[in-house]
Amino acid sequence: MRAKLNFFLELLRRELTIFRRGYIGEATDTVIMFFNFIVVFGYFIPMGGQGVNWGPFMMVGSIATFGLVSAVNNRVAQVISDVHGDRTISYFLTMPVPSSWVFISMALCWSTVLAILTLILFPVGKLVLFSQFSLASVSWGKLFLIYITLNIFIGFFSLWLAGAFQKINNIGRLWCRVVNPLFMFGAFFYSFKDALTFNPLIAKLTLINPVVYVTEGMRAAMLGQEGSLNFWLCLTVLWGYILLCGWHGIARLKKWLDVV
Amino acid sequence: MELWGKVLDFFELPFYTRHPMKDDLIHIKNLQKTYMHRGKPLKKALKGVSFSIKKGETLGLLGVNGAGKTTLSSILSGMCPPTAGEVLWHDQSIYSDITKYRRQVGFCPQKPNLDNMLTLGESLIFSGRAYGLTKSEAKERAEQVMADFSIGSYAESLAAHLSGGYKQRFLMARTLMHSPEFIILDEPTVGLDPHIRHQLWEVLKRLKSEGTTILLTTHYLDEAQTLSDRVCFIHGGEVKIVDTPDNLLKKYKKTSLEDVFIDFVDETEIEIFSRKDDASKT
Repeated sequence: MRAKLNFFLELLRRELTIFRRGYIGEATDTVIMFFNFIVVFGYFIPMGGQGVNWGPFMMVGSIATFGLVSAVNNRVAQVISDVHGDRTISYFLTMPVPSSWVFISMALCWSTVLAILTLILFPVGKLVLFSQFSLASVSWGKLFLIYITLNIFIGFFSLWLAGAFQKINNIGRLWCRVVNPLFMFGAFFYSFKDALTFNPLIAKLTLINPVVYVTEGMRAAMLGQEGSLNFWLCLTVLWGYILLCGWHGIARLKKWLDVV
Repeated sequence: MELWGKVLDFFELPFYTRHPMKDDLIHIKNLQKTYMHRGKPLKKALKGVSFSIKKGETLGLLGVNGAGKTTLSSILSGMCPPTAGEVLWHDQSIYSDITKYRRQVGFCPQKPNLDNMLTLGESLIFSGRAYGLTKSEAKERAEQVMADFSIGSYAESLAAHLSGGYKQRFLMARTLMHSPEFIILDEPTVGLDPHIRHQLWEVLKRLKSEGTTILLTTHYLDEAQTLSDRVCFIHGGEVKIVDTPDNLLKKYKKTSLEDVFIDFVDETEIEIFSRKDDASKT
């Protein structure tokens, strides 16, 4: 156990060192995208009398999901191109820990880095929306729980994506085939409650989409339970997805990389 | 056991009929590896490989391209699983406690799997710490291995910025970071200039004198002749000969291992072709 912890901490130290070097660039990209979203939905569209209160709604959804954007762009793509290129990962796989632990550590390291990256979006969001978003509606304990959980989910989901989309020319397709449907049907632009009024069947079908629980759980924690899926349900389902993505992702990666 | 070895030698019985010797560090038994593609066998890289590596010896692993050397090295590194067969480490399967085995092994692969995001210094310390060294031990050891391979002036450089020769030296340094008992070097001197190659030979000789067991895969037969206690010729996924360089020179009546190798490959090719001919006739 000590060797495993030691390996994880060293891998985390490595990930943080690399993250620190590219932080300014990655944080700038994320903040620009986030800023545009909440300015358009928080100020521009409401000027035409539509989408009042969309600002905080989009802000919370963006904080919850922008880690996934960064994970797909940087972590998943990096792992796939590494396996086809330098194969740095093969060095980790000769280290004195089980190969499954290497993959688990990688996912947890990504989760930590993504949590740090998207942390900056909280003050930026509050500054841009200012009075539109009240801190009084935030349940800090729930926010802590869902924030940790959703970042762990994104880490393991990225691991699964890397195992599922192994070919380097598939990286571009990740956006069209996975990320786009996840966002469009992930209660990102609308709430699940609204979806039920649009079409109950489609709304219920979207419940297989884990992003629904990411966005709804985060809104329940930051904007209040009313109008969102039950917070505890979101948390439980996300942990289910973490286990599923971890188990299947590790199995796929082990098979792909042909490791013990 | 030694007497039994002599008896086997006398009757020229194949080496794989021997039981693991007392001084064997690794005993490889009927190792097979078949690469699969979409559930179908793609290539049989190893077809029942059996031999032993003695404690403290340097074994040269020789063979033409595609003979199965890299596959065998990957399996012995504890990374890649065999399709069948067994690898015994101190008479115990390495898979009974793979992490314990990996701790004793240093693997320098043919393709430089460097961490291009870290500096050489950071990378070595990461390696040492991940293998359980303390911070000060890892720092001290990193300085030592960097000095051994004359890469100390690049400690702050990213691995991606190094030339091919320096990458290779760094890879060797990283392999030795945790002072492994057994090191596997897969073509470690490819692309190195002669001066550096000889410098590396000196390091390998020193490691051997310290009791480290080395499996050296190489295409440079002068290197194998100079450094190896025994050489193992592998061809088409099968072990053809395991013997000392001196015995091979005597047996083939040659003056260099390179001539032995050429003769041996020719012989093997003729054997394979005649086997194919016989099969087509029947």
